[in-house]
Amino acid sequence: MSKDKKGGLKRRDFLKIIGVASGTAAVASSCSPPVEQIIPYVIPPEGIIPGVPNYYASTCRECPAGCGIIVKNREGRAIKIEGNPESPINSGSSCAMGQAALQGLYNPDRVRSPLSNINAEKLQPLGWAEAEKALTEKIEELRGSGKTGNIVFLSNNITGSLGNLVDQWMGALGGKHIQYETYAHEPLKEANKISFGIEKIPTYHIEKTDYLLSFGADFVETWLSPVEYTKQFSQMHGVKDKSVGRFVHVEPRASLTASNADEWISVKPGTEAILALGIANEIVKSGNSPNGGGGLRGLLSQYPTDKVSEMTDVPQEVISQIAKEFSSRKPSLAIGGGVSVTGTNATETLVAINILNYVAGNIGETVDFGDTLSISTADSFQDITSLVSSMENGDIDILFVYDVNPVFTLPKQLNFKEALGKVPFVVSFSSFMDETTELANLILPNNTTIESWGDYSPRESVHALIQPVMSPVFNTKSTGDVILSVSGQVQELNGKFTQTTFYDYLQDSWKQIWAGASGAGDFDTFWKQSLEKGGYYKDLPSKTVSVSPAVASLKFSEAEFTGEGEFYFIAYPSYKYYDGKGANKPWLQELPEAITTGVWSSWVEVHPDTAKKLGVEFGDFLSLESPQGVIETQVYVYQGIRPDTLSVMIGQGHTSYGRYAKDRGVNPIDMLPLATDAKSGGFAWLSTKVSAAKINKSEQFVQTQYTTTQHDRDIAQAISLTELEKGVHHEEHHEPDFYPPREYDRYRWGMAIDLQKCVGCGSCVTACYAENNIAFVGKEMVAKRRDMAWIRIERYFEESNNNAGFQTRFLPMMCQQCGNAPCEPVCPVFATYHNPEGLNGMVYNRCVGTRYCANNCTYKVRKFNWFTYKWPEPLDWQLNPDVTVRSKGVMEKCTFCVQRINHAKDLAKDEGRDVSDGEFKVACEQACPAEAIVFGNLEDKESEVSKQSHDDRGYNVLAAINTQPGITYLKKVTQDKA
Amino acid sequence: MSEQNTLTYARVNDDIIRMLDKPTFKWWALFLPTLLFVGFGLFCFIYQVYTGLGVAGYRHPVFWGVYITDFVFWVGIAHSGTLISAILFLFRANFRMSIYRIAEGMTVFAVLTAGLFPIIHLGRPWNFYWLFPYPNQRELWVNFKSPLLWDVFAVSTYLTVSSVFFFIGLIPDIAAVRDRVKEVPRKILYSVLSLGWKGSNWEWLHYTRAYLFFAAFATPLVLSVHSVVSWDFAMSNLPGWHTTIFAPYFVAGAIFSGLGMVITLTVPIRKIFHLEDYITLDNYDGMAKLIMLTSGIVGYAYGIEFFMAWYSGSPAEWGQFYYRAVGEYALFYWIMVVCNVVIPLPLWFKSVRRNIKALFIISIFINIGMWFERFNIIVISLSRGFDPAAWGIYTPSWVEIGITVGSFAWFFMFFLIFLKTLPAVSIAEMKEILPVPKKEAKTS
Amino acid sequence: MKKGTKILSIPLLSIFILLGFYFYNAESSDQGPKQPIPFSHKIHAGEDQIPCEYCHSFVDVSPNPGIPSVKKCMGCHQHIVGRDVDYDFDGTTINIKNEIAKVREYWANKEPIPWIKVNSQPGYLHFTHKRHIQRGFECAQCHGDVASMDQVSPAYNMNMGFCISCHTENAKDQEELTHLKDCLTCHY
Repeated sequence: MSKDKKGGLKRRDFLKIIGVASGTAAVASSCSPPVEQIIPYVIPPEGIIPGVPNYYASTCRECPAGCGIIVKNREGRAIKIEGNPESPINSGSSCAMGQAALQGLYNPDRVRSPLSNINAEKLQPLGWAEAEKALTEKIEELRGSGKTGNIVFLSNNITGSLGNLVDQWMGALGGKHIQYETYAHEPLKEANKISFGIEKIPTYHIEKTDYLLSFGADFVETWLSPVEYTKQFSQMHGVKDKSVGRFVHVEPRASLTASNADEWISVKPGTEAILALGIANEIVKSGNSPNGGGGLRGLLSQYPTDKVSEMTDVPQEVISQIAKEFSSRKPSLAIGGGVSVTGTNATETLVAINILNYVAGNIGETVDFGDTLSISTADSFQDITSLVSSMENGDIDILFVYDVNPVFTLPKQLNFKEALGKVPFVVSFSSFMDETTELANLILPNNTTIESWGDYSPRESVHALIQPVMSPVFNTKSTGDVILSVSGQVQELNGKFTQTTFYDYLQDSWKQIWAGASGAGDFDTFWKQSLEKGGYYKDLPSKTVSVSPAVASLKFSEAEFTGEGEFYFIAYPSYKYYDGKGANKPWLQELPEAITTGVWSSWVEVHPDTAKKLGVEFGDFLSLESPQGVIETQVYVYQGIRPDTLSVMIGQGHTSYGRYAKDRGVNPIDMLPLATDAKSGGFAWLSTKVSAAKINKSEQFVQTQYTTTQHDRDIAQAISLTELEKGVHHEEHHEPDFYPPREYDRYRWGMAIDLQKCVGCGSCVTACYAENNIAFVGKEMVAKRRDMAWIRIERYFEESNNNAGFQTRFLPMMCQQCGNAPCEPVCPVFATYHNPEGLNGMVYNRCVGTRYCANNCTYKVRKFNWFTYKWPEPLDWQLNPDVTVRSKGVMEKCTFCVQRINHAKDLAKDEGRDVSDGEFKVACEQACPAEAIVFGNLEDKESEVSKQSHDDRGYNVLAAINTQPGITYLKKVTQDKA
Repeated sequence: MSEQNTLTYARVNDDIIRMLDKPTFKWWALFLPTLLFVGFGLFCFIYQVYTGLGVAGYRHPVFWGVYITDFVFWVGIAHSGTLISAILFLFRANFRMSIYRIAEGMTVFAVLTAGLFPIIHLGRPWNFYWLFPYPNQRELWVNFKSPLLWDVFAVSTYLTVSSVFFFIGLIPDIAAVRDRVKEVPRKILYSVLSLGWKGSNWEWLHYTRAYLFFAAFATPLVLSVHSVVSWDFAMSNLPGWHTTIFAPYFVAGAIFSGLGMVITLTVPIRKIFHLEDYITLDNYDGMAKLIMLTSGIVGYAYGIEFFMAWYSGSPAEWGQFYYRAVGEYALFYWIMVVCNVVIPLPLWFKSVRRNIKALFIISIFINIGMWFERFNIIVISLSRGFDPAAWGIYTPSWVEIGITVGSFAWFFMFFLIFLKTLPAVSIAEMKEILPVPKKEAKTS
Repeated sequence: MKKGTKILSIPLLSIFILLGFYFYNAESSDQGPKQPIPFSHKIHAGEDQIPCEYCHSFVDVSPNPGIPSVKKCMGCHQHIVGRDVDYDFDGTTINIKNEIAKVREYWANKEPIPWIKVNSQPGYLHFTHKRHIQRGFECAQCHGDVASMDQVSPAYNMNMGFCISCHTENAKDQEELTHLKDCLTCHY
């Protein structure tokens, strides 16, 4: 435990917590371990057994979706986050951002104590007592001067107890609580208000649909609730008795979501509304509408197919094709409202989509207004703009900033940063030194979700609980507690709050939920149950809605664009960084972006023709200029974008926010004008045209896969729907073999991966990093192809006769655990060998590093430790004690999470039985939102994995080499025109 | 023939033993730089061990590079020694007489150099001894299936046999030197090494028998050792490695490069020590003919590889060889072809074979070409395996270059010491091809 | 000349052999570390007959046996102040009362006692006490007669040979033996 002996921050308290030091930091090479200490508990905590993990249910707050999580705790350290199967939102899965929340918790660049610059030039650390006193004084001083209403609490969309507390607090102080969400989806609310009279964001049931038509809704990446909708999508799009759902995606660029569509329709930016109406019209015209279009015939008749096709650049036959399928394949669903396609006419677009759903008779079927998202309650963009103006006018004396980074996420043209300078006293509760926080006068670092009590209600039906899984890593304090203790000190607020800790407040507010819950028994049991299940979930009856006749009179327009440039500019939200929040987490930075496989930077997607026109190539730099700003970034030539469009990912380009985020890539938001959606007033992300010019700079585009095609190697295979329906035979591959086939007695661990379900989101990759202590190596090393990932998502662009002309295929490639492994015979020292349960054992401490195994590996999935990689403290606290931390000179690779296998077998042995199917999951399988990965025992013929590996679509990659892999892939199903 | 008549037993002794006189300034001028470079190579290695193998240019998926190239290169160099001394001895090819000693020395030193690289290239060199089968409480054993283990045995065997053979051949000559030198320390040294050789008939009888036996014993090694080395690659399933022609292809290549190196070494020695009468043009002519043959063989191999790749119908195989000829490494590939196939062509003309300058230049190119042959086989094959998602380009780092240069210095260091301590040309065997001495010439 | 070398070689050779033995046994000739408090297993486990599981209470449920919390120490030493006598602790004389006072001091400051690990294994080895205890092995089989040691020191040189030989002897059947000799059972 040398790391511990380094005596870091708060060492003593930490040691009290962690109890028996585990061998995490010992490395494969250490021959004679140094003198180790064992630190006993002073007072042993209840129910903690050193060496045995504890699991706590909580809630993820990395994005507004509010997935339920289970946090694994070893000796007082949170070491792994997994989805909570109880949660109705993500039901067990998680995304890469959720997995990486741990690197927020242990981030070495966190604010380690309160800071203030009240009586100093720059921010100085101070104790909590002082800090709270300083705040109290400010508040009292302000109230003394009789000024009220000059206090604003700017937070993200915090529902539940903390939200109420802040509201009450601000109420008592005569202040204002503004909830700012970067992606507030206001047009969605507004459109529903116009069409149905309900200003809410509904929940969708993609899994029930047979035909999904998305107008730029990137539900695999960031749209509303990605994990949930990815799961639903994989159910809808997966193979069920020889049939699959169909998914068509309309967007100017082929996003990750579009890459998973059967058809990507490249529409002229800002004309989605027209297209939707055109399709609706086509349906009505052809008499396929159950309600005959109701009172909308007149409206729709203004959008004849030929005219629409002309305006939208979508061929007529495509429009009529979609119309036909959309009305015939029931139930169908049209969704929209992706950030990147939110233009000045966003509301109209979404109304048009509602009309389309109405015309096809989908309302109430697959759209559920009974259970609506709490993000609906976020404040509007106007509130933000007015806040900024009053800040500029000096009407704000105290501004609290909680878990938002407006300096980064608001367009420069709004001048939030300058306005912030005019606020005499800015208090930030952020635990990270982001662009906003570094301008604050007082920083009261909040605990991360993992460290604090709280609750969050992402939708009406879900009251999710947040509980502390470990005591704070640094000298931070939960904001709820800060508010309560400060209120205790401010004169007039005395007695305002009966509770002294936020925990009490939380319980009190849950007493109301308990009162509302029927037959929940007494409160304590209710509370305990809720804690165990991660919250209280209720079923809400779905509400039937009807389209208001008002829409008939609505005018539909194309989006307006400012700027003289010739290219539409798309700034799209990233599934790795969301609005930039994720950029300080090395796992996310090193996770290859699905389409480009680029890491640690940003780039602009350029169509090949455009690239030719601009005279740039892959890796060159372009200078993009809009009236609001200029960014210079690297070119990625991509056939999945319109020639008249350029796009850059949001999330990079931080000027602060820690060593991993700072000065990396560019922030496209700087380019955006202060344009809003006409009807809802929400921010219009797609509203500018830019000019692009080649600049004299070019460097290696750092990515993890340099090829785009399969070179006829048939690695990511596909089967056409027609073949599938005909029924094909699973080709069991049998090469002549010199040796007799291997015998396995009880277990032969194997895996099946369904390529029809895999969406390439990479959460398996991040989960694998977290579970197996895989080192992140940084951009320079990835540039040398020295990334250590055990799973790589291979991405291939295949020729296709669909409208786009190509189809994207994803294939998660990890150690195939071959039954006939090329790596095994060539190792001179048996460091890699075949274990009696079919695993390719990799014994780090026996490895001498000849690297022959990697040379001979057919799949090239072995990674070598070129150096001894270090985790800057306290990131190393996350390391999994059950997995050896590798040191320089040894080979490593996917182990099928052997530590989990051994753990499961250990438990089974306690009860004198064999491990049963589905009893445990390996990390990638557990994380996968699409449920594309199945792991289990191939010797057990009843196990899910055995069944799947004999599926008609099953095949082994490069079977001709006769490696007899333990992993079977299920072919993707292509729905090309026959 | 004419100049040989002027050679007498006495002159042979004089000429050859004169080579062992006090090191001249020239010699030091050559020796000190080699020491310098050896030092630098050592530094590079220590730096690499300390920091990790990452300081070399390696990257996924190219896990072997310059080090293994050097290994195969030096093992190749090591071949002609045994070839010239043993095989040609068995064939009674007289042109070997004058050069075989140098060739054998070269063999021993080349193996010494080659042997270092398998250890240098390890991720954890401090555990290299795990590659030897020794009983231990862990009940761990080595994997005899692994070609790398065959290497361990092949190379160590070759080192032992070739050095023993080298020493046996030296005994009578050392004795001759012993009888000449006066100053005490050298006298002692040579007396010990000569194992009390008297030169009696009885000794000669047994000596020649023993020599014959060792020649016969060493001969198969010439073929086996490099075949084993070739199996390091042929035994894998990698496109570009997995092929049946590797063993003969490598052996021919080894002899080819070995002869090249012999010429590169002997030409200057011949000049500096005025051994024109000993290392004659006929000797060179003979070697040049061998070079023609082996060059032809490797040339054929280059061609047939492409045919097999195409004929196999495997996209991976054909992709690999197509890539070699036109890909990022095409330059290296064509350097190899030109140096090994095109440049030796003039040797078909007798005039060229007997032109020392021409031979020297050609031999240099052969050395270069053969180094690149190994580089191409190893690096290009690795950089394009089966899975396109895992393709990558490798470029050596300064550390690898430093160690490579160091290895050459290391080799020449031994060689220079050899020149000043042991007779570089076989006195005894030179005499075998001389006319019987006349009365007044005193025997030794 | 040759004679000289012979004479030289004999002592040289023997020296090397001895060195070899020394380094081979160096590990096992370990007298055990100096602990912050000279805790005597001889007194606790020997004289007082306290079972190992009383203090190392997780030994049968967890990979690591657990070290008693300071609270647990105080459980007894609230009342047991200790005789005010000198005690010969592996050659060094200590006063029992004073030493126990130290424990109470740690408790007073609510500080953990930084014990030094006696038997430690490298991080690439995942040994689990649970399995071995449940299989019915006595602690002494690996840790020696702790009840007779003041300062505990490693009884055996716990290297891989130690594990393997025991596994080989105790395997029920061939299947278990293959499992017990499988690298991945302990190394992952």
